[in-house]
Amino acid sequence: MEAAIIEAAGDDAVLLKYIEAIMDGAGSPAEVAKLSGLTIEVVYQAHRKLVRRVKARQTKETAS
Amino acid sequence: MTTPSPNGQRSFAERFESVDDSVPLSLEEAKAILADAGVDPAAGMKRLLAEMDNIDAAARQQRFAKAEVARQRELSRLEKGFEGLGRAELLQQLDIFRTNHPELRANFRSFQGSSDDELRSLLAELEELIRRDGEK
Repeated sequence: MEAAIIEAAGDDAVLLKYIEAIMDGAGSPAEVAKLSGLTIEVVYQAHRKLVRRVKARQTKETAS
Repeated sequence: MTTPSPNGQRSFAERFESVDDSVPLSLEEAKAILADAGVDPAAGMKRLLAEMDNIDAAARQQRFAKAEVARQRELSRLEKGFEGLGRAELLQQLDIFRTNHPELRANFRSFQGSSDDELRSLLAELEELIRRDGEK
């Protein structure tokens, strides 16, 4: 799962910051915001974006 | 030496899931979930508003019915004059007149000893005076 998420982030700087914060131990949006310096709203958006990308990739892989 | 936080002991996937639980749904996600469940929010809102209209209409109808009953009661009282009223009601009506028209107090005192018929006559007289006063 970790690899799929990192892959889904690509080179999006915000998504990479988000992932880095979780790798550093964050387990809630507030902790991610604190560790990454992102605002809570940006954390929400980043999370949704990542979930969307992971799902899209999974769908693509299943189809092929 | 610092104690590792509970988050630190969990795997990346667990922490990601934990964040996922705390991220509020976006409008699009909420719409998609409702659509998957076969719920049409617009139709639901329409039904809700229609239901509120029905409740409103029923309440209005009830108020009108209540007002109509009161109107009929008053009409019947007016038709009968003060004939149907007992002593307590006659005194109560007299009190109402005296309270609403303090200028009449001086002229109508010590009526407790009056008979019911005298009270009826007094009330009719007062009513006539009030009616005339209102016409001025």
